[in-house]
Amino acid sequence: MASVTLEGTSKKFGDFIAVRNMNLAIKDAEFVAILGPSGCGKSTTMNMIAGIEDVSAGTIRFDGTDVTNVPMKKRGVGFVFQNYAIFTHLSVRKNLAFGLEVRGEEQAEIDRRVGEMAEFMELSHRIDAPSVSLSVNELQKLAIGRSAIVEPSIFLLDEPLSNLDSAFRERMRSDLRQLQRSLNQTMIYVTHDQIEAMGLADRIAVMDHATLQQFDTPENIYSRPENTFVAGFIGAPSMNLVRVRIAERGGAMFADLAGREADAVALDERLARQARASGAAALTFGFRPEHLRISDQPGNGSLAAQVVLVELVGRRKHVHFSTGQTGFVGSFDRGVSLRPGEAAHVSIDLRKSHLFDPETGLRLRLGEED
Amino acid sequence: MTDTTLPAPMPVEEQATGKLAQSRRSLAVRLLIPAQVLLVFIVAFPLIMQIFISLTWWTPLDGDPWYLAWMSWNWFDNYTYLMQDDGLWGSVGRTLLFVAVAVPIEFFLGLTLAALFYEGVLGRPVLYSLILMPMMIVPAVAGYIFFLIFQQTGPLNSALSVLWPGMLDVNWLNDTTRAFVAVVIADVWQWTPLMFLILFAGLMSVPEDQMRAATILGANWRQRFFRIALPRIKTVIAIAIGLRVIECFKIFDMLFVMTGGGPGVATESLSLFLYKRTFQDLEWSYVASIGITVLVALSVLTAVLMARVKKKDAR
Repeated sequence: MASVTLEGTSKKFGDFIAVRNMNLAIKDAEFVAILGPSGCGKSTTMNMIAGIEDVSAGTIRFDGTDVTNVPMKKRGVGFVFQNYAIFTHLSVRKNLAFGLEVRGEEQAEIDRRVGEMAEFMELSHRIDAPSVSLSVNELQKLAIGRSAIVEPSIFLLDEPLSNLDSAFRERMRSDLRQLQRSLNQTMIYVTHDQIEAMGLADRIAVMDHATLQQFDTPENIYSRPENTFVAGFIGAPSMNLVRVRIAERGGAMFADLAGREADAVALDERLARQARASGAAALTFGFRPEHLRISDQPGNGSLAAQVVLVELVGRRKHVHFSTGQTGFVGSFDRGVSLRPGEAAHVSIDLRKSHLFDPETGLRLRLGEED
Repeated sequence: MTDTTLPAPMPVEEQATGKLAQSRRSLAVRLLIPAQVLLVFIVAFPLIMQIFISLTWWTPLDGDPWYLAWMSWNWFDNYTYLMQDDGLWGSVGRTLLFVAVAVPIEFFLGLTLAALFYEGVLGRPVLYSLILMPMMIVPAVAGYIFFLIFQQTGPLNSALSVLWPGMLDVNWLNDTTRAFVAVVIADVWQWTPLMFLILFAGLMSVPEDQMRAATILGANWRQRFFRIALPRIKTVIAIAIGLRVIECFKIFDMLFVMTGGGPGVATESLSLFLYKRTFQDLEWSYVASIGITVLVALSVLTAVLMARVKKKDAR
């Protein structure tokens, strides 16, 4: 068991910066997901932690000890590769025993621990089968078991579920969570699938363009995104980000959608204070599709919008609205009756909405409690 | 084959009359005849001719054309003779010994080089082309190079005389054992690169992830090589060794230039033996009987091996 700390860690491939000045403090026995789109540097970050890639700048510490220059075979990490990297010329037993054999453990000890691990991973009935004959889920269990048997202090998993079909992924997700609990090890998990990250991780490190965007609990990542990237990346459908003009009329603060006074949203006290403090005339207004309400009568602070498109997604209905100048998406229970072309009055739950600086993309905040 | 040469399936009423079908089939047969005749001529004729000649005393020195060979018909005298021919069996034995010595050396040197290259040695691109160079030299020329090197006053002795002054007088190619060693050295020099090339290509095909996984599990260089890389390239190793055994068994040109099979018959391979019987002694009917014997022996061997492979696959 160990904590993992990255201090100003960077990786360059020639002129290309794969990871820029990464600061990350992962606690002991924590389950952390590194989440981001393809090419954001998440795998490189993981490879640096494992020692597969050198570090261009900065430090990596395990439990406070600097391991930046420790070669990968001495770091004591377990690594589950995306394609599992099973030794296909060996049997299940030989795969499990590999790490112990190369360490020169006693044969009796190897047999005992391989037996235990096979039992734990539910592979006992296939123990002498050639590993090529295993199914995908057995392969994954074998890959994890093979790493876990040498009792690494840190476990790294590189998109281990991306090869599975969606029904099976669901099951493996819960298996993985249980496994982490029972192994009680620090696990770092790279994925581009936000549902996986949200469902599994204690904390999520969101990356984009080689840079760490936010490192927080799934709840905070969802409800308090640090910037417009995180806001737009997390959630399906993602957060509506609309350009607004900030105007003060009659002592109240308004956000005019796309600069139109007719489509004004009266800001509540919190957002009004943030807008006032920023002093900016134009901001980005972010609100989640789940936080919209509709009525057929104009209400206090409601927007008049037209339904453009209705998508049925599982138990939800995703409705695309247009105000003429700008558009946004709402997500409702499938019971709601809206048809394309209809007019609707939409009100936004302002307590769950955010304002972002359009230049930097950062969320406006006044104090720590925001 | 049948799909392309026979007409497409016919409607039921045409099949019922049958006449048209028959004429089409006979057309197809007629169209195939020229190719079949050619095939018979290429494959069957030389074989039959060989068998025919091998059952006679015929030699071109008789002055008779080969089809009159029946006049010196001797049934199986050539075959009984070859069974007792020390010259033939000696050359077979020497060739087998040569294969048994040269190929393993080539394999271990090639594997060592491949392993070094796989782990990444300094100056890899330059070394790579240097190592492959011997393979590109015509064997006869390589034989000539080594013929010069192993002369009594050649560069090898000059170099050795610096270390051991007494060695200067040795004539490598005049002594039966030393000549054999010299020939093995030349073959190893020329063909280790091929072994290296095939094995290196094999090693490069080992998935990088597996090697990494092994490293992360704590395996050192040796363990990675012997536990992961080597078992994974078993087939490649079999191919490399198989190729070299076949090639080595047929060795001719290098020996012809370097030693001419000598001293005496110390380095006379099977190919060289056959060459001498054919072009020096002109014993063509005897050579034909050897050819047929080798063909039968190889056919039996191949059949046995194929049967084993099939059995293994079935398992």
